[in-house]
Amino acid sequence: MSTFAHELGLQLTLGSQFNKPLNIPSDVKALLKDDITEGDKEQYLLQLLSAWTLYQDAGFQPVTLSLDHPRTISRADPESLIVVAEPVQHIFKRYFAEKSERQRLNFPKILWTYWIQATRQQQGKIPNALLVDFLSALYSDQRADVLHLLSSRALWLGQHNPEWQWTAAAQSITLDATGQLDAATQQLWLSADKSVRVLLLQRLRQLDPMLGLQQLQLVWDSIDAEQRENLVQCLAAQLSEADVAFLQQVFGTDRSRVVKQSSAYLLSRLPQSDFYQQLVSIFNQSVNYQNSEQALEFELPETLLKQLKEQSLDGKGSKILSGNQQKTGEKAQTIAFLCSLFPLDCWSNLIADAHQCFSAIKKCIWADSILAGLRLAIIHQQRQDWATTLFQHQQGLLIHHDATDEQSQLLALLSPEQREKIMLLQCQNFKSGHYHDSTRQVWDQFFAEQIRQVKNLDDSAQGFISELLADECLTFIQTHDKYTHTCAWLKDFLVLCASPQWMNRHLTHFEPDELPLWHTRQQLTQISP
Amino acid sequence: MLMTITAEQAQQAIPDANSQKAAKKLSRCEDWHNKGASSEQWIWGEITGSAIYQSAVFLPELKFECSCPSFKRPCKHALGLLLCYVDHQILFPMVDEQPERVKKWIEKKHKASQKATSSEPAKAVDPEARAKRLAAREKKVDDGIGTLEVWLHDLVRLGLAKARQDSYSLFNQISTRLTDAQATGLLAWIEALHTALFTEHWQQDSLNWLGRLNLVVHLWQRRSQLDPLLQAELRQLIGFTMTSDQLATLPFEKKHYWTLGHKIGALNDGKGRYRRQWLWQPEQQQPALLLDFEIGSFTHFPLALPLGQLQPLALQFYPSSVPCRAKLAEQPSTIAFSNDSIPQGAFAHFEQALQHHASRLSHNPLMTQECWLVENLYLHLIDNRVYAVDQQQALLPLSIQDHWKLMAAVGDQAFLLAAEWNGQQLDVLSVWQNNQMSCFY
Repeated sequence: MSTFAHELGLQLTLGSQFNKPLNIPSDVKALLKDDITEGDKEQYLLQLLSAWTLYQDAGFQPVTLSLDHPRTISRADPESLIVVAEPVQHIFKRYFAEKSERQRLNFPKILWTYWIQATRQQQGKIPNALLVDFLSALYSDQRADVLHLLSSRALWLGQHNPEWQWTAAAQSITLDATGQLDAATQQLWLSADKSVRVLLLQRLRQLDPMLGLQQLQLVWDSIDAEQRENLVQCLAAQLSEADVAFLQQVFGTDRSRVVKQSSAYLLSRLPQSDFYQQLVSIFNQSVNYQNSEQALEFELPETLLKQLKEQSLDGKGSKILSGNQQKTGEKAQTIAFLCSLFPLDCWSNLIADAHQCFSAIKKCIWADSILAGLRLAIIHQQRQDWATTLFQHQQGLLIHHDATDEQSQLLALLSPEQREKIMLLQCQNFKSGHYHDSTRQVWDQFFAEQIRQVKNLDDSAQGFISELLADECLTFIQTHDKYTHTCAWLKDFLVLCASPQWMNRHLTHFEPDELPLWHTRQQLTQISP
Repeated sequence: MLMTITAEQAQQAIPDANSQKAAKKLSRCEDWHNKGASSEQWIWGEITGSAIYQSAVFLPELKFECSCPSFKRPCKHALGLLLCYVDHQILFPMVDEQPERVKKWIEKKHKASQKATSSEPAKAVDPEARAKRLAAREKKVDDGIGTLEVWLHDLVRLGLAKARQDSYSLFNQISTRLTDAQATGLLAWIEALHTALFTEHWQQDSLNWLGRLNLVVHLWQRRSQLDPLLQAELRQLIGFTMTSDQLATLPFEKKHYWTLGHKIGALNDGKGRYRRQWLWQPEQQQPALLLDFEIGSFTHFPLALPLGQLQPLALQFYPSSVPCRAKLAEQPSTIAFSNDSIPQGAFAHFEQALQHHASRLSHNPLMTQECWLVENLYLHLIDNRVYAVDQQQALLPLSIQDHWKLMAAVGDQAFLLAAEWNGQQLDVLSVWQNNQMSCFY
């Protein structure tokens, strides 16, 4: 029948005017003889076609799937029954059903975090019905946090969609009797793409730091510079003396400047390493403090500069200095980079009082470069004492253009009480000045959380926060600016901080649908501890 | 006892996105005062807008009434009241005494129903005049079908490749001619042929529709020789509607049906929507179709049946050699909802479904789609296209807007599928797995 169908199709596509002879196989002719009456050419073709259409429809044969081993089909799928608590599922269903793609992407990160925590506490998995929306809308830097929320269904789905292949990292890591990875996990590690490897290495470092290092060494020679940089950064988790040899080797031999720099940051945290000693030596050579004048000098002799260049320690490509600072020249870049590497204890040994140290730095002609490097050093070396002093010295100012990530990381080092103090100071500055775009991310990340930890903003709350936020929120609602980017932190505030009494008092004309996130928060609060 | 209305059912009564947004704002229970309900299945309430407005809804037909001055019907207040009822049915107490305005609405509805069911006909039908009108219509259709035949011959003479290059006016002309000939039922098929000319597998698809159109011409011209039921089917396809007295005489039988799923789409002329609700009779493995239309703001979909439920329904089937399209003889009053039930009577594999389909096609060659319920299927992905594989490893293509959602719903485990088979692929309506139903329309 197929040859006949092909010929018939060809004839009808070209048209009967071409007068191409139609060869009807005898068996087809016999089959159709009762249906077809001879007439003009067009009628004949049309009747053949009608009959063929019907025969094709009635005699439809599905293709047989060729599999070596036919699958056994089971109705049991216990995983899909493990869903998060119903209210959470309901909220997200409602949310995903109502929001357009654009609005969905504006879903504040903090609310994601909040939900992920709530789900984790309930030991839940992402419900199957929400998986597609969830995986599509998830922020890429939150992947590590949701790995344990992924069901086997999510892993299966990830195998079929290249964009979700990172879900493979959620596979359970099992060790054999000798403490090594079992064959399946080993295979996954060896064949994984870069996003999966990073997530896997993060998990391995938490599980067994040495095993993580071994696995990294196993693939080190076969991966590109970008992946080497990402993976070496994973060693920051549970960094120890055992990592020194590998890091020292990477620093000494790797071809890539960025990989060298990443390993240098880790080595600067390991006093046992040669590199640490080298940094102390460079510090002593280049930084001088005159106690009598309380003045700091930063000198880089030519020989030292040459040596630094050879070791890729000249800061080229490090992008520590931002904006206009980048135009300040090679020496400024090198100083900033070195200061980001210097162990903070070197500074403490030189000037015992940290406040005095900052004052002295401020007087130095390289103040901007030194401070930029120092901020990064505080982050890399995770020093809360230095972060506190830095903010005290800056009088709580967060305004620092183009460096919002850095500010967030510095704030994260502080205790909740310290953070609150900083945020309140910033709030005062905000009231007297204006809201800076560059600090938006910091606000988004900390402000709402900070106030929530301290107190719910209730009806009787006094002071400038209440006034300020009341004014801002009212303006925010009145202008119906509910999806704008500029007020992201305000949305967070409304979602997470404001009490129902406060909302009712200040937002009398407020409709739940105009601020769906507020509504969502109300429901989330009911289910979260 | 008051009828339970599901969120899905209420959703289908909302005509557009603006109404939905407005109605949702007014659906908060605390905004509605003096709420009440009657044993005749009316609910009502008062809401404060620019003034105090009173709204009421007759649940079995989703008939809306409101005292607001809006020209848009149903208005946002009445829809808001319905949404409020869906979420908080318990807060509508049964009362004996209705408010004055509601009483008037109920009386108005009573009168309208009495008029509709009145035993004495409003006007005696003159059978002779009716036959004369019918003969005149058939003559018109004869002419239209004759034109269609010539048009098809021209199409075949010039070839389908040429038709792809021609402008839409070629199709527009025949559509206009068929409209004039009162054979509007065929317009959808003409449009389908035009669309098929530009699909990926255009040759196969367009030949399919060309063959079907020729079949209609062929059958119409020989209609006197046809089985009366097939003839009735053909007439319905061409656009002959059944009069209300003809519909009233259709026999009905009460049986248990599963509601498998529904599909809502836009009509070809863009002036309305259609809704296909598919039911399944488990003992006979027979589908039944409830087809409804919504034209502009004049007519609205009647209350949809709740999905995934088994319920006794009295259906009147339209005359056909293979009865499928039906209408509800009476609206079901209350339904015992069950969330963990799985439809029974499914086909075990595709071969069985295809044999069933072939057998029905042999009685009704005009059938273009029907609903299947097939069990123990699993998914298979080939070149980013999703297929269903049965127990015998036979594979059929699935059509679905976002196949990732289907994959997330069933994974690599067995599932039960309800889908429309159109001769080429299965258009997914709903799936069941582990007692969970997922709908895709």
